[in-house]
Amino acid sequence: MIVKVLILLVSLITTILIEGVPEALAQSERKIMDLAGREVVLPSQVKKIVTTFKPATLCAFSLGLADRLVGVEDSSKKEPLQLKVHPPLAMAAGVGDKSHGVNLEALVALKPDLVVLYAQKDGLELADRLATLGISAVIIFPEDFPGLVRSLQVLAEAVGEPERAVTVQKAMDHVLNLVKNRISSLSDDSRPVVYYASPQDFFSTASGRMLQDDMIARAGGLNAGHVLDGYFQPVSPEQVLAWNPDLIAVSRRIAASLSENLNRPEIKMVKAVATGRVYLFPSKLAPWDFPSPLAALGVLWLGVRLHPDLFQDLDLIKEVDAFHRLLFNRTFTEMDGSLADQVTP
Amino acid sequence: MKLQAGQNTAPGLFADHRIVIVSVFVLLVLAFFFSLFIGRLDSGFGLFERIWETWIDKGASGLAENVDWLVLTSVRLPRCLLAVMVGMGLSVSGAVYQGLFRNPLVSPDILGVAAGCTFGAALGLILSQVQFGLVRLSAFVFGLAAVSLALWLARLIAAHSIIVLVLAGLVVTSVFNALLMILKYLADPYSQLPAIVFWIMGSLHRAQWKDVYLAGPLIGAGLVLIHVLRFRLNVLSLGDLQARSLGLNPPLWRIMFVAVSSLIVALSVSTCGQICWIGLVVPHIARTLVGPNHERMIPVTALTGGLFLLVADDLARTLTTAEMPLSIITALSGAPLFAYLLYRNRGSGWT
Repeated sequence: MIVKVLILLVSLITTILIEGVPEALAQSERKIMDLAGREVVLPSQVKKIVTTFKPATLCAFSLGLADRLVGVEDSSKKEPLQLKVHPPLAMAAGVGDKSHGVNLEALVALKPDLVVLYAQKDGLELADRLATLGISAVIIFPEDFPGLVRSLQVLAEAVGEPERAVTVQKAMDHVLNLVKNRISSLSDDSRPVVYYASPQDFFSTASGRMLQDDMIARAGGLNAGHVLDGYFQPVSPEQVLAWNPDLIAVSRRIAASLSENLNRPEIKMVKAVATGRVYLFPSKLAPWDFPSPLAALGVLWLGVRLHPDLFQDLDLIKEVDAFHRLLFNRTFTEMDGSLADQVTP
Repeated sequence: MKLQAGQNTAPGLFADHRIVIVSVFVLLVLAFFFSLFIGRLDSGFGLFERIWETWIDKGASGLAENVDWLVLTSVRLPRCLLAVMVGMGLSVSGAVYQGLFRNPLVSPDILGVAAGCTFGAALGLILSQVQFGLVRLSAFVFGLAAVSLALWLARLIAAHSIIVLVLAGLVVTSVFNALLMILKYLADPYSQLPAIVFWIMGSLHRAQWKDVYLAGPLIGAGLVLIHVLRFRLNVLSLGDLQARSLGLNPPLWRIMFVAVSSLIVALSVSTCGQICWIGLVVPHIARTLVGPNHERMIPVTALTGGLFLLVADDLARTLTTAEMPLSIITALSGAPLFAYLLYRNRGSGWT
């Protein structure tokens, strides 16, 4: 018995020593560069995709790749938009996510052709590890508009259908240009100050480095927290009062605790609250204040709310419907979407 | 490590403790006054002038609509008051625990109060439908539950042993920390997890009058009670045998002190999150100033603690546009100060 085990061990070790890492992707020729600057070798056909963080799942959906997702990061399986667009997603395997750690075994067990990973250090390490196992992995970074477009392009190239990214990019450009053309006449001092209440807390806002800052600028506003650095930053009520924003856009995730914050005596003095210009960021289907192609709609919505006079000719819902049809094959209205951006004090 | 009996009469830096009490009190009052005039909106006395002008022009009704007045009275005043109260509460609880356990390394969370509070707060932050106000209630309830659990566990094992009490506290702390880890693991990484992390680092940025009304009377009553009974701490810190021979029932008094200080800590932590180091370092400052006699050091501890947290919070709210977590400031300033005190008091009772 011991001899048998020994023989097995020795043969195993020699195999590993001689052959090194398993040879895979033998027949494939395709190589692309991902957003981390890594060269990724890909199989000729990508049929099975796994995503490991939420923006990646939304990007895959926007590219019309929903039916190829065999595994997703856990929380996407409960998102209303994804379930409306592709109900079988609820049955897809969960592989963990970037914040809680990705389960390598669950990932490998799915035998994916492509894994979409994040740009943090452990994502890079995981990508290299997967490569040694013969699984292709690309790193994307859809945290701002240029990064979003690049990420969509990399994903579309990875599945060998670059035209998919062109469609999404055109749809996004169309929506962003609707806003750009209208606000181009605005002078710097006629841009209203916008306070964005982050998903973490009402007294926490987006820094100048974040997607939301860019969104506010593209919508013709000034982000109150533009001078801040890093990610979402906690601020004091006094600071909000000092900024005295003209409009407050609130992440839907903190809707439950909104009224108690708006009823604080000092917050009632803030211009946006006093004039009733506090809104929840749309939509009920999926957040538009979040890194994904839908952020373009977030810019449009914010533009309409900031400068209603400049958008009188525009039917917001019609544009939103068209955008959803292009990306998801169904309109926003068909999927029972609604802005639900009004705040009742 | 133990505070020796003889130390109770040992003098501190200043032979006359009244001078220390009066000077720290004056410092605290001055710091409080200046704290009201610094902040993100506007620093300096221009604020005072504008309020004065509004009052002269429009009278009291004009003040109600004046932003400066509102910032002064409904943002800065409750926040500064709360900083002083929490600073006093945490420091005095630290002093009480150090006396009770006869160990200068003890901080008020040794019996699991802070761990319980933190778990309760995280639970409140995770249950999305819970209003933010209830987060504090949840923190408070779980904080007291944790201490009760530790006390019950200690009683179950051995009735009067301090070591068993400390170990029971360790058990409870570990369990609640593990439960907190579960919550952090389950938390939504985009919104809930950072909120929990920020909460754990402590901040007074949400302070409102409501918090002062809720926490103020209880913390105040606890402080008064400890102040009145502070001489018993001297007796208790001699050890059970001597305390008993002096006619005291050590377990009973110990439970009383533990209950009162735990209540104070639970209130503090549930109002503004965990604030490191204050409960550990401030009693040592007081001891250095006036010696270890509790009759002298408790009032000095309270005043110094209030001053320490007030100044720390002033820094937290004014240094940057964003709000800085309090624990960063208190730990970064407290730890080197503690090292200095250790160095300064080398050769004395603690080493």
